[in-house]
Amino acid sequence: MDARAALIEPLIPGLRRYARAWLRDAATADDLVQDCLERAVGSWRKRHGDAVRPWLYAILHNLLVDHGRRQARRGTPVAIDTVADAVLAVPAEQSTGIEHSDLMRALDILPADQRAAILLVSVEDLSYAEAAAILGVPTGTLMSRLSRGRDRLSELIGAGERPKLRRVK
Amino acid sequence: MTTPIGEDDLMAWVDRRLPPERHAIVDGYLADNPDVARRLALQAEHRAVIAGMFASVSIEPIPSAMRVGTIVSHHQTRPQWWQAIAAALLLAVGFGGGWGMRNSTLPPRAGIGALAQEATDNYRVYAVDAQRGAEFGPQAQAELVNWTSERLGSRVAVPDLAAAGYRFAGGRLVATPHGPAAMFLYDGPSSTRLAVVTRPMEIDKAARMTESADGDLSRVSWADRGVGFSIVAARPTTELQSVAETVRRQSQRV
Repeated sequence: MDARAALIEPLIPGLRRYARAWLRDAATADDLVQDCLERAVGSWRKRHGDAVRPWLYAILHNLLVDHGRRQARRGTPVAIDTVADAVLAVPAEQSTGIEHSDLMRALDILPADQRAAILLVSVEDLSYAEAAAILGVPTGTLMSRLSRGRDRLSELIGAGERPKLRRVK
Repeated sequence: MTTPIGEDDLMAWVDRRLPPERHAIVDGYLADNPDVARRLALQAEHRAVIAGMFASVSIEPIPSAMRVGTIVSHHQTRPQWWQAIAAALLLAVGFGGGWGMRNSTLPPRAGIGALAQEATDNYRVYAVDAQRGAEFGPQAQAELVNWTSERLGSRVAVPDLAAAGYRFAGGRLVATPHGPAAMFLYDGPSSTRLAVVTRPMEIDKAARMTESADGDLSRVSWADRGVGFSIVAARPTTELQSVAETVRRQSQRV
């Protein structure tokens, strides 16, 4: 039991951070982390010696994706077009430094699999192999999601290329 | 001759994960391609900002409900409704499945019978392959033990069957529907191949020695303290039994 705690608990701050980065809403994010931990404790034996960190992140990731699907079915409170407009509404003179809110909004617009790749690598600092295992894809696929995601992000933030934002659907 | 630059190099550059020798090559490429260099520099900046945006979450004290101790005590005191349903379903599957399969020749899906079948299937793939059947040869026994122990999540030892006339010939990790298993291969008299397959057992945590046969192969299987073993070879069962006894004695000493 103690061994389990020693392996799981050090990872909780990172798991909360990953969920928060996906959802922004702290309460919902923590609910999903809680769910993830309960499942992990409940199915600890079924882990079959897999490394704990990618295993936990994979459980959480799947919960986040499921949650996203349920939300989508219920109807998104903010239409995607509005979000895109919000990103467009960045003051034109803001050229030095990158606003957090810009990056946040840009991340939200990214396709989920590209966002996941960026968050797992950039925020959680997981190895490419671990991130690929979490998402259940080969490392090559992870690399191209990461690459495309980062390109798209630069495009959305627009290094002086704001008109490109018009392409956001 | 150098390997061409790939998107994986560029991403590893952004993440500062390139090995030094590759780093120099990518730097050279970026010097020649200022557009790409600008794009990557921007992406590296984004990476740092994104990492910083959520950094504060990880220093928040974790809610006590998330402590493993809290979760465990919950699990123990209050069986949840889905556990009750799962138990009922398992019972139903157990009764229904058992009745339904009373005359069937389907291979067993769990327990010691399943292990024997998994061992046999893997034997037919790997044991007959004299060249590449083993991932680690007999000289790399320590690596094999470390690797399989780590993947199985419990300490695995290679049985010594020299006294029974079987020389250790290497081993590998094999796949089963119940997760990874370790397979140890031995060369015996008149070029017989013998395999010892072992994995953690979810259902039959302790099972007495059972003999069975599949075509030309005999199997002797059992489980002790949550670890299952199956011995497979194209030899009479009586001969395998003494080998199995040796393996069992050695495994109990670990």
